[in-house]
Amino acid sequence: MKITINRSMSIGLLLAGVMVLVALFAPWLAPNDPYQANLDERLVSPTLTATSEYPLGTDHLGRCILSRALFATRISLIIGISVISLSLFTGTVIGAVSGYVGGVVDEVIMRVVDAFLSFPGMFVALAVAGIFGGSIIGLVVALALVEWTVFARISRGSVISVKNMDFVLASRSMGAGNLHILRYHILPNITSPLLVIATLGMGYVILAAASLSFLGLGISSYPELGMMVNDGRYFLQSAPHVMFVPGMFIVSIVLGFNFIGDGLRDIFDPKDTKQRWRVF
Amino acid sequence: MLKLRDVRISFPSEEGVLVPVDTVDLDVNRNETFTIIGESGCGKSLIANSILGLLPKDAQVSGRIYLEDDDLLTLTEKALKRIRGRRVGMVFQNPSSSLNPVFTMRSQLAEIMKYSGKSATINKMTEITKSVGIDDPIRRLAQYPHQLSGGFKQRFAVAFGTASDPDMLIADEPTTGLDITIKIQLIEMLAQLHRERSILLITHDLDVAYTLSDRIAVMYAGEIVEIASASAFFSRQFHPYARSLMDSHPSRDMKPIPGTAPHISQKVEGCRFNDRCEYGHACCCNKHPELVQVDVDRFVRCHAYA
Repeated sequence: MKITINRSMSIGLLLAGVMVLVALFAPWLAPNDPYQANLDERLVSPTLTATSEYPLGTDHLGRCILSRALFATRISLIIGISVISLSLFTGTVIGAVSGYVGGVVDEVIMRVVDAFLSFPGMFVALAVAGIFGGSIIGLVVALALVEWTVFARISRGSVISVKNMDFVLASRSMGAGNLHILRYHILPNITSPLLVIATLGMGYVILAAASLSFLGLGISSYPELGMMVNDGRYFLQSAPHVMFVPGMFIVSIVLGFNFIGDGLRDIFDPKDTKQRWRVF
Repeated sequence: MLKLRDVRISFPSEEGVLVPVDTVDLDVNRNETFTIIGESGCGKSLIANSILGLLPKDAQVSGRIYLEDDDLLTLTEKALKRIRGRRVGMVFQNPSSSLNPVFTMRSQLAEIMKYSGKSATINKMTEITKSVGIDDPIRRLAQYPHQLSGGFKQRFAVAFGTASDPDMLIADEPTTGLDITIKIQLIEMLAQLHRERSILLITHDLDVAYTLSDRIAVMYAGEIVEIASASAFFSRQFHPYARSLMDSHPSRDMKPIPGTAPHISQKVEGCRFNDRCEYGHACCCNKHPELVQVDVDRFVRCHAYA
């Protein structure tokens, strides 16, 4: 098996990989308790020495910003992965059925998708997150409600282009049923566009989750990057690091996934002739 | 073995009902290779796909299609599924698109065998692969379609069609897009197969038809215009279209047939070949000719023989 890789893919893998590792090992990496407030040490500036107690400073309640950002990265990734898995699954199944069955079923499903798309995505998410309150589940449902339509449309389109291929007809001529054809012949042939959209969507979802938190509709019981940015808003002039550090974490995660998505898209592009690095 | 009686395929469209295949009667006997020849668009492939119920949903098929004693047009989808692959196998034109690009040949072959209730052992798979003239089955089975040449792909397509050992094989232009040497190899391979099972061969290639057929039907604009045994047909053609078709072959005069076939939306009163025919009678324009028997094993649809 040959796996090829390109430049944006490797930058993306590096960035996202570091962020995933950081999130996984947050309890061991964090120098302080992320919830521990120390009112004597509020808005301490970052001091990047090995011995410093607060390497990236503290916020307005004297909590360690590095520790909070590490734990917040966890939450962001959990939200991103759950939203993408949920919408990838529902969107692909609904879109594939719609494209494969066609006719009235297709019309109805696609009009529902159109209805979802006619709302600005952020607006729907805001409304749903507002109804559910500040829980992770609420946030995930809110974002998945917006995101699944993308997967539904992409998978419908791909299924329609694959279902009329000769190998599908050939398989039918050998006695294969619809479910078998969908699973064995159609789904494996539409994975590459879905994979690209899923990785690019990951960045979008994490950003959207941070935006909702920034607006006060996210998670309140855990440290969250968007909320941390919001907290730092009032001290932008006196202590810019309170806003800057979580902001950089968001940028790294989103950029990482977007680079991977771009890289995957180039790799899957059959017309692409750019130089690739062969890994295996 | 296979009997088609008065088969008519129609599609509803904005210009009214289109009838690309009209009143087709034919018999394929046991262990016989029956060939349908004709130009592109004359309805050959539609007949091939109609037998196993593989036409698009909006197609309407009337008449009777018997496979031994089963009337295939009255069977449910579930019953048809048991016939597809097991009793009738198919080979499609264009081998590069009739194989799934994301799986190896081995896993595709195993899937087909599993589907028809056979156990897919590596020995059995090697044997099937060898039977279509592939010398190094182990290596070829491990490859993906894009790693195989057109000839190998078409061999695998034939292997897939015959994997569950059906009594009948429908081969829809199996030699299209192959270069001449590979075409000859494939013909030889099909010739070996045809001693063991009935084959309905659809082609527009006269050489292929000549080499493989026991009997031949010539189609023109959705109708059969002549049916004859292959030996009789290739020594003498009765229908003017069949004759022109033979004259267009490089070994004969390579004479093109003037004009084009009527479009399927066109309603033709009399003989459908009338406007291109050099022997046109007065009655050809307004009276539709019937398929009449003119010899022991020859039927012709032409007023000149009526």
